[in-house]
Amino acid sequence: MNTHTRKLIKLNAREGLGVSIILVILFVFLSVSSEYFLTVENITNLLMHSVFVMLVAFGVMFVLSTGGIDLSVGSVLGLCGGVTGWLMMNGTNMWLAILAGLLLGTLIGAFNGMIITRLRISPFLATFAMLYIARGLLLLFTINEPIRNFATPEFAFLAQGYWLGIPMPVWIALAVFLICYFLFNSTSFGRFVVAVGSNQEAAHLSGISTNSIKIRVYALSGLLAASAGILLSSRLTAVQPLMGTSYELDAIAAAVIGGTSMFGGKGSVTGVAIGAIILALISNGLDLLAVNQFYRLIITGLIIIIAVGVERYTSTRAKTA
Amino acid sequence: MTVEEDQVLLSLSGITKRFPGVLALENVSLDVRKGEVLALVGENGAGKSTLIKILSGLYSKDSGEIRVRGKAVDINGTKEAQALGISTIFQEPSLAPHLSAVQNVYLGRELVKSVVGKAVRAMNEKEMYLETARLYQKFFPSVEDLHRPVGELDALKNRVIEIVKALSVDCSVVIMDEPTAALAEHEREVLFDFIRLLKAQGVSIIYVSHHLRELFLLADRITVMRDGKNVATVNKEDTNIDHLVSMMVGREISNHIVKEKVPLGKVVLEVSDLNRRGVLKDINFHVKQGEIVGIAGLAGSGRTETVRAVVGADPIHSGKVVVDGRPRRIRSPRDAIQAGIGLLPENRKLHGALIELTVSQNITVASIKRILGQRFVLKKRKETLIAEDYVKRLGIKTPHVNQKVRFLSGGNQQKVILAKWLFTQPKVLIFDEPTQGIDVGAKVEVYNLIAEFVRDGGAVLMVSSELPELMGLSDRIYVMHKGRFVCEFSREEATEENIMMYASGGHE
Repeated sequence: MNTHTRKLIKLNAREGLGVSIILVILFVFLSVSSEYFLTVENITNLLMHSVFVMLVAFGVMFVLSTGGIDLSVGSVLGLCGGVTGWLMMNGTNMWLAILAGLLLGTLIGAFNGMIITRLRISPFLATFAMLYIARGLLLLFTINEPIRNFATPEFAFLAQGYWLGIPMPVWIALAVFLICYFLFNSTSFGRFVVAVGSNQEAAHLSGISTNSIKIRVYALSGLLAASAGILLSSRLTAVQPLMGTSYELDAIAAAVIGGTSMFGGKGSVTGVAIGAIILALISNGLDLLAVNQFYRLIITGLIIIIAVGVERYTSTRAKTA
Repeated sequence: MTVEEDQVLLSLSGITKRFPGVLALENVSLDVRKGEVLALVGENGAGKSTLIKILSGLYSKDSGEIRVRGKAVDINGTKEAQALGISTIFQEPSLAPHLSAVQNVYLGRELVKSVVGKAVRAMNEKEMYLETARLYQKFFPSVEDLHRPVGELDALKNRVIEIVKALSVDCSVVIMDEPTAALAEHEREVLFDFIRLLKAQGVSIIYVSHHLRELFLLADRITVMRDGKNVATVNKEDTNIDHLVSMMVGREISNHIVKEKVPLGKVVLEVSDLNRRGVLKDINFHVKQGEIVGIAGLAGSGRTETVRAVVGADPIHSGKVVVDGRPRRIRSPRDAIQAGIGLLPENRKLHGALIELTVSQNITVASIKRILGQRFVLKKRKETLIAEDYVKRLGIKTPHVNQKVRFLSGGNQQKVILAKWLFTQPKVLIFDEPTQGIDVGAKVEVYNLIAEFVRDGGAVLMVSSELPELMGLSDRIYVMHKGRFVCEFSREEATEENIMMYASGGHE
């Protein structure tokens, strides 16, 4: 192997280039096969569709990087969007309602973290239980009357408005991306997250409060799920009891496609963003090519296998080189 | 020397194995005779592991010839190796902890019997139990452990069950890779008796170990490997440790522990009345500036528990820790770091290194505040410079500081962990098995770094199972037995005999 390819592989192993390649291939393929794909409207539309999963996936990436998992995000998304809508429906000020929704998501996340660290219940089980609890609470909220007719024009602007010709959700996602990127790569919190995921015992002996880091990542995951939920309720201007169902799986898919390790110690904010865009790209492409959406699931599954397989291959190659 | 053809059980000639960029084995030839213990020694990376992986069917050779009882064979896969009578006991325990001894011994080749005609077949539990018990009784008279999950049994019994597993497939060659790694001193001797027992039955043993002293108790011949080559094979009688070491590293290392005289200062760390119910009882000790204090004891005597308790990694029920004359309340490793105490834990992979993180990230992780700028931003340039400085000072072999630690050798990982603790600017460093599983050359470098730390006014507390290392470095040695400090020796008083007597409870 010459030094040039070796350098390339090293880069690849470091910062999810593999996933970018998949993105480019899909992009080129769709540009060629559909004349409607490469239009400003379609690309904005596509990006906007990716935002909801992307926001949730950022949080899930932090959790996965500590070696945990958060299955409750889909339900938390629904519940927090629902609570914000319900409060506004009952006359609460929009900003207060949003704040309440975000706070609730954060608290549920922190509660997940407490259960995991204090009661030593595995993250899978703790957040799996919360998936039911949060969904059940949303069902209670919607039992008498559906949550709708709450969206004031200002609230609807959050997800339906445009600024400088670009949809608001894309701006919001960009802001959250920058904050998460900064948190993950440039702060001690981000460093401790991967340290805990890489080797919890060693991290603890190095003076890191591993429990506090874990509680914080679950809280962050809850906060981001809530923000996605509020944005989605602004987009739909109504909250169905099943809003956000299976978002946890899409979020995990986006994170994994973006090079996040399910065993902790490795994640990438950029990778997650690209992963979420790939998911939206598949969906959008199938629409344009008039293929049944059922294929979306199959293609997503295949892409997960390819992305992770390429990842594995390049990192073992980097090791023996 | 001439050896009868029929005495040679296994013969390798011209074995070569190449990995991308590395020639792991180059033209290695050796013979294993019937009923002998052939020791295989060499530094990490010398090719021992590659060689045994080829023999056990995990790797395939690029060229060369393997003959078993004079017949040329190909070994593709572990099943073929077993069929040829070659069994391997790897360094890492390879038993399934939740299964019983019987289930482990027959894992993957369970005996079956017909239940209803020939259509339905069930496992023949009785037959498997009887055969396991028959072999196990060669080593231990009592067979009541055979139905318990092996995870509940001690390390020695686990080793024996692995041996039984090897014997149950009618093997004629057993390869053992560091079989004493997890064993206490007296357990080692029991295992050696067992190995001699195997030998007496005509089984040949290829014994891989870093513990050169062990080899002289056990081996008939010793093969030294270096850089993928077979340097020499010598009879035990014709060699000694210094000779072996010089062949392993390719240069003379005479007396590889040099103790420097450092003037002792005031007491830096004082621990009194440390108790942890059922584990530690009334521990009292102190360490002075410039001093290296050793803790000796058998595995399970509470050495690791003591040092973990001191840094707050395990809970304690009572105890006072005074650092530099100031009482400190230490309830987590974080408090310990603030008080100026760092612990380099035993078992690097499990407790010490963050292998997914880079060299520089590992070095700064325990004192991240020192590279934190305003608004919680990490100063990455400063971090890189600091890491590069430590890499240079400690002689860490890495292409650059952004290399993941997983790609470093054991000795270099240990140096990265040491750099991490030096960067916390500690007053006391506690080393738990500092040279476990690293090769001779790297050991000497670690010793020198420890010496340098005390020369600069640091204090060191050290736990080690290797008595020569402990006695060579320490100014004083405490001996532990059953969770207590039972004795204290000055450097001059300490001998292997009196340490072992107290450590094994012989004083009682």
